[in-house]
Amino acid sequence: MQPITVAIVEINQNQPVSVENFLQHNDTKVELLADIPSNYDHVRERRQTLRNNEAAIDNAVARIKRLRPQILLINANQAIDEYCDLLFVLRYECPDTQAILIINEAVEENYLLETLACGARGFITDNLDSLNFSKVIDAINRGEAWVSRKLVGKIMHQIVSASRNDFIEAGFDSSC
Amino acid sequence: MILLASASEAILFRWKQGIMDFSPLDFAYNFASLTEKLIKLQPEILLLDYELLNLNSERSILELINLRAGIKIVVFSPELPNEIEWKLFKAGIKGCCQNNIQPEQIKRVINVILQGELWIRRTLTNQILDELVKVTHEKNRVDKAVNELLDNLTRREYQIATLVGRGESNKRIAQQLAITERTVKAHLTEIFRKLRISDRVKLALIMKDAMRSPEQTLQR
Repeated sequence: MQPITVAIVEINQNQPVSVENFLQHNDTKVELLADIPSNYDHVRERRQTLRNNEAAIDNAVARIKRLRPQILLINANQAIDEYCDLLFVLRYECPDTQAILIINEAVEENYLLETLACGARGFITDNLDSLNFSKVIDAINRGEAWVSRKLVGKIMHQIVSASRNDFIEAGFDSSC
Repeated sequence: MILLASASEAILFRWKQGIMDFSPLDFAYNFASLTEKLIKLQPEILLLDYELLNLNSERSILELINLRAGIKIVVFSPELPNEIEWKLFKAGIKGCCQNNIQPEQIKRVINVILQGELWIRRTLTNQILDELVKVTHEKNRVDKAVNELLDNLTRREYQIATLVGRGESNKRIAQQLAITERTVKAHLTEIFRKLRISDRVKLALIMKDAMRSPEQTLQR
C-alpha cells in the first residue's frame, strides 16, 4: 500500500511542531515530506511588512506545489490571518492537498471557523498521540473532515440559516 | 416532549424501547396528524420515519420546521444516498439514523442532539465544509456588493433604511424623523431603486446584515 504523503508548513510561528512525535515507530503508512523548512528566521524580526508575509505565503505555496503532499499540516500554534490567505490560495493551486491545522488549546473557535471557511479540512492539537494521529490521517485521506461534533453543529447552523434566508428572499414579496 | 411519527407500529415500538427514560411521549401515525400535533403539543424533539415524508422530503421538513420553530428533527430511514441525506440536513434536521439502529443507541442520539450537536455520518462532514466555504464566499461577495450599493444612499436615505431594518413602520419613521409618511415613501422608492430591490422585507434583511457589519457601521 502506498504511504500517505504528509508535509508541514509554518509561517511566523514561535513554537515548532515536530511531526516525528506524531508518527509511530517504524510507521510505513505515512511518508513525511520534509522539504518545507520553517521560517524561524522571520520570528527574529517580528515587525514584518505585509510584503514579507506575502512572500512567505508565495514561498510556502511554491514548495507545496512542488512536493504535492496529500495532507498538509499547518502549524497554527499562533493564530495568524495569513493562514486564511494561504488556505484560500491552496484551494486553487493545490486542490488535491488537504490542509489541517495543528493548534493549541488557546486558539479561539472563531479563528477555527474562519480557517475552515477558507478551506481547512480540520484541526488537531499539538499534543496528539501517534495512534490518534494515524486515525486522523486515515480519515482525511478517505475524504472526511476532522472537526468536533460541536463545531459541526455550529457550521451547519450557519449553512441552514443562509439557505433559509435564500428561501425567505425567494418566497416573500411586499411593497412600500 | 418527544413526538414519534411513523405509520408502522413496529417502528414506534422499537423507538419507544430506546427512549423509555424520556417523557412525555406522543405519537403521530400520518403526516396530517403529525402537523396537527406539532402545533398543538409543541414538542422539543421529533423522531420521524422517512416513509412518512412525501416525495419532496426537503420541502416537507421545511414545512414541519415552519410549523414548530426550533424543533429538533431526527429522521430514521433506510440507507440514503449522500445527496438526499445532505439535503435533509440543509433543510434543518439534526440527525439521521438508519432504521436498523439499536434501540439503546437512540437514547444517545437524543442526548447528543439536546446538547446542540448533530448526529451525522462522518462521510458527510467534508460536504459540510465544502458548503461552508461556498456560503462564506457567497456571503462575502454579496456583502461587498451591498456595501457598494449602500454607499450610494444619502445620509437621510440611510437613516430611513436603518429604521426599516429595525422593523419600524412608515408612520413611526415619519414621526421619528419629523417628516410626512409621503416623504418616507418617496425616500423608500429611491432606496429600492438604488439598491435594486423591490420591497421592504429585502431592505430589512440587507440592513440587518449591514448593521452587523463593522465596515458599514464605521463608514456612517
